[in-house]
Amino acid sequence: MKLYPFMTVDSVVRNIVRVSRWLGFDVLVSVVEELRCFIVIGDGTPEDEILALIAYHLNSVGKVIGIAKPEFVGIKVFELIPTYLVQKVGSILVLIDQEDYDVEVLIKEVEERLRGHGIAIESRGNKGRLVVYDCERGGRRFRLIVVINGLDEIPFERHMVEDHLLKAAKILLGEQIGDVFSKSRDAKEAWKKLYQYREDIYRKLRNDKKLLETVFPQQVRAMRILEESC
Amino acid sequence: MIEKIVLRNFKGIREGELELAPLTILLGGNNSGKTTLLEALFLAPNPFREVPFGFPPMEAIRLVRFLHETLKSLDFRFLLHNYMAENALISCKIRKKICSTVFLTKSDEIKVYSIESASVPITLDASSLASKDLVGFFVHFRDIRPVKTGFFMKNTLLFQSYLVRMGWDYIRSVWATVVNSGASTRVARTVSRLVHENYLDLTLEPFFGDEVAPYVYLDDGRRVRVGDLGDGVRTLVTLMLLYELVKPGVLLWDDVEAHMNPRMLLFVARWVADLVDKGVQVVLSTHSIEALRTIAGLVEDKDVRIYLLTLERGVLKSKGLSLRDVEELWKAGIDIRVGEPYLL
Repeated sequence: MKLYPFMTVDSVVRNIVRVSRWLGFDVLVSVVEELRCFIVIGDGTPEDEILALIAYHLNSVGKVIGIAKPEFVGIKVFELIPTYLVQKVGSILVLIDQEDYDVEVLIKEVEERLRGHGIAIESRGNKGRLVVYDCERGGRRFRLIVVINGLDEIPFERHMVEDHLLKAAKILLGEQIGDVFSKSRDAKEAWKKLYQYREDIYRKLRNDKKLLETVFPQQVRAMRILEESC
Repeated sequence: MIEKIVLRNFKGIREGELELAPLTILLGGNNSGKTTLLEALFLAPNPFREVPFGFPPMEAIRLVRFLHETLKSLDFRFLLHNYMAENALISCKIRKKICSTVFLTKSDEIKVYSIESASVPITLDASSLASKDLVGFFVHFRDIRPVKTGFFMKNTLLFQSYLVRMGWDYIRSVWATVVNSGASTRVARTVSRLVHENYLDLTLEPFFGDEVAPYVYLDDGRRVRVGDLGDGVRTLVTLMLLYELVKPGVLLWDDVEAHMNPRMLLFVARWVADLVDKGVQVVLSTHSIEALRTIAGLVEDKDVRIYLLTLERGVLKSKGLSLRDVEELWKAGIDIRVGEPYLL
C-alpha cells in the first residue's frame, strides 16, 4: 500500500518521510490520478509513523490511499465527515484514541455524531475496537472503518496508540523496561521514557510482519479492509 | 469581461474550458495548465499586437515564445498541441459574442485568423475561415508576415517576475509618459509604504559610464537602482508601472506570490481588490495558499472563482471552489493544492 498525503506542510508527512528514511522504505507517492479512499488520522503522531509501517507491510497489491490529518482531534474528527463527501468517496478509515472512554460508549458516541450529520449507518461488523459501517448521505454511499487505538492489556486508564508501542516494547525489551509502567501516569508518558529504544523497536516492526500484526491488530485489520474495499 | 475561455490544441491543452469571474485564481500542480491558460488569454486580443515588453516592443506571440525558450528557439510550433496538431483554437466568450483566434497549419506555415461568432467554431479548416479576418501568418513557422494591429477584444496584460527586465526596456522607451503622467511618482510613493525608506519618485539617470538605469529617488536625495531593490519590490514597481501605462481590461499575473513576503502580499491583495472594484478583470495563478487566502479574502465572494486544475493526457480538468470550500477542506486535512486526485 502506498500513501498519498493530502497535506505536505504538516508534521504527518514529515514524520512519514523521516521514518521511511530511517527504515529504508518509501511508502509515499507524489502523483496519482484518482483517489476515492483515505485515512483520517484523529490524533497525529505516532499514528502517522505506524501507518507508514503498516503500509510498508501491505505492499502486495500496490493500492494508493490518501492520508489526511484534520485540525480537529479525537472524536471531533467525525464532525468533518460531511466535508469529505463533497466528492465521491469509496471508503474512509478513521483512527482515534480510546482515551478514557469505554469502547462501547465511544462507539455509540461516534454513531450519534454520524447520525447527527444526517449519515445513515449500517454496521457491517464490530470487533471491539474495529467497526465497519456502510453509510449513506444525500444519495452518496461510502464505507466507514473506525479504529479505536488502545489495548486492554496495557494497565492505564486512558488508552491510546502508545499502548501498542508499549506492547511492542514489552515483547522486545522484556525486563529492560523496568518500572516504567508503574512510574508513569499514562501510556504516552511511559512511551516517552522508552524513547531511546524507539528506533530499535521500529526497526524490528519493519522486519517482522507477524510482530506488527500482534502489536497493532485492529489497525492492520482495518488497513486490509480498506485496501480490499478500494 | 471575459466570461469563458475555450481552448483546443493550444500548447499542452488539447481540450479545455474555464468560466472566469472578475477575479479568477488558478491553482494546480506543476504542468497543470495554469500558465497556458494565462498565455492563451494574453494572445486572445491579437497575438500580433505590440505589448509593453522589450524595445522595440515585442509582439505578444514573440513574447510567449521568449518565455518558453531554454536555448534559442525560433519556431512557433510550440503553440500547437504536441507540436503537430493541424489547428489550434483560443475562444473567449464576451457577453453574447465569441472572439476566437484560430491557428491553422498548412505545409510549412501557420495561418492565424481572428473571428467573431455567436458560438465556438466547431470546424477549423481553411475553407470555412477563408473569408475571415486574416491577422497574420508564420512562414516556415518562424517569421511573422502581414500583421494587423489593434485589439479584437479587450486588451490583456500578462505579467510574471521573469518579465521585469523586458518590462523596463519598454518603460524606458516611454519615459516621458511615465514621468509626465505622474505614474512614476504614484508608483514610487505607493510602494514606499511597504519598505523602511521613503521613495519620492522614480528617475532614469546615468549609472557609471554613459548607460542609464532606473532608480528610486529617496527623500534624503539618494538614488537606489530599481535593480538593486529586493525582488518583491522590483516586481511590484514594474507591474504597477506597466499597468499605469497599458491600463488593460484584463490583468494576468502568473505566480503572483513569487518574491512576496506576507506584508507585500497583503498590499497586492488590496491592489487587486481595487482593480476588481474598478472593473478590471484579474486572473492569477499561484502555488501559495497564503496568497490565495489573502487575495480572495478581500474580494466579494460573488466576484471570485478559485480553480484547481489538472491536465490529464491534454484534457484540462478543473474544480471550481469558493474560499470557504478551501478553508473547510483545509480544516479537514486536505490542502487543495495537492487534492486533485480526490477533488477532480
